Amino acid sequence: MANPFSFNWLTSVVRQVNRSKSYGNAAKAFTARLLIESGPEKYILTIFEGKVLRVKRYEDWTNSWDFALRGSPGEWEKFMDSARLYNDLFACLRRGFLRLEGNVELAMTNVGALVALLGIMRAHKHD
Amino acid sequence: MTRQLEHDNSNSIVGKYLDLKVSGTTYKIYYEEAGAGIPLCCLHTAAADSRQFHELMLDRDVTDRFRVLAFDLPAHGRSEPIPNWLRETHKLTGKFYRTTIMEFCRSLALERPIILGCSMGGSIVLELALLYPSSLGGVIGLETTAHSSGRLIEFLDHPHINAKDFISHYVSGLISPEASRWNRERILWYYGQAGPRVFAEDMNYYYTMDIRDKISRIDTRKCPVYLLTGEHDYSCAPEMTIQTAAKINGAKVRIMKGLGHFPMTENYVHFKKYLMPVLNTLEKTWRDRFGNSD
Repeated sequence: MANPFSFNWLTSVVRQVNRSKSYGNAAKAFTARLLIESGPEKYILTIFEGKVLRVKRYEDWTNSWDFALRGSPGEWEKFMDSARLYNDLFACLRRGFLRLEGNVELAMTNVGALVALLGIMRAHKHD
Repeated sequence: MTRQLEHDNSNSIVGKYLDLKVSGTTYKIYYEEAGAGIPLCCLHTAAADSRQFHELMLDRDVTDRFRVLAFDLPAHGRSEPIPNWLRETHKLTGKFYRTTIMEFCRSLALERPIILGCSMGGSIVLELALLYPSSLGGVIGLETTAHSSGRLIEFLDHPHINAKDFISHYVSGLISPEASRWNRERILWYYGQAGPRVFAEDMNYYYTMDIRDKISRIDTRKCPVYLLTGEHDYSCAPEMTIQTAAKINGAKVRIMKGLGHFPMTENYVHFKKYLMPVLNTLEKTWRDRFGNSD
């Protein structure tokens, strides 16, 4: 199965994220290093006060991150397609389709920004 | 821009206040009513209020035959807060909840009311059917389960987290993806207006409630039980309602296509297709058993 995540795709999505007004409003105080894992593909988004400054491929334990959102490529594919049972982030976390790890409190403090960011990913899944 | 409800006779809903004494404390609660006939008492979801039932209360197909009432629990909606709330957290218990409901019905002299509740309201109706079968005309549970788990998390009431913002995201996924944008916004707006810690305490009650070993004692010959659950609900998934109904001899259950956790607000027109057969049956049963309503 093709992995929905790639460096080029994620970089393109980040451009949309940084342009998004609704995301910007929700992410004013969002400063974090977010690790997104889709099977073997792992990327760290460095975010400062809402702006995604950098997308970097995760290499090894020396790469720091604050919280991680992990899933298999298949689960991410279904989330991106808003498949039944994959309504939203909390549905996926509850059912174990996606896993949230690390500084979960930081993630929940910025849940509006995180949801908006994932929404932009969904909207641009075919870019 | 003002959004119009589909049945635009907004004069027909009347709001009032009632002093309700529960366990020695008097609460000033707000309620709304519309229509005349068999009393149909509606129970809102956690942290919400009776506005969730406005389309139902504006539906002449219902209000021509039913006196529809919906009250806001103490500290919810337009009801007054719990006394001393700044110093103490009010714990919602099953006893307080069902006592409040029955006291509301008693205070208004509602004769054999039919109770329609959603989510935590959908679960408490099972306790009412169990404990007060002779006082009720039947119960309708929306998104009903005898036990749920997995959504009671510390972030519902956390000093670092904006509760109003968090709750709207936490609840949003329960709404059917087929709901209109406006109805989604309304549902989440009501949640955003909840008072401090109200959602957390309602969740604490709902996710610690477990009546699985009691509901088999419900006698549906005395108190008919109808359960309706939206297919998109993952807080109370359809299989949970089906399992609950299986334990209640004579309970009727239907899964509602295209609807989620808030069927009466997400898409009332579509929800009505499931509700009306239940109301029609309960009306007939009610009149056969108790005669005509006033």
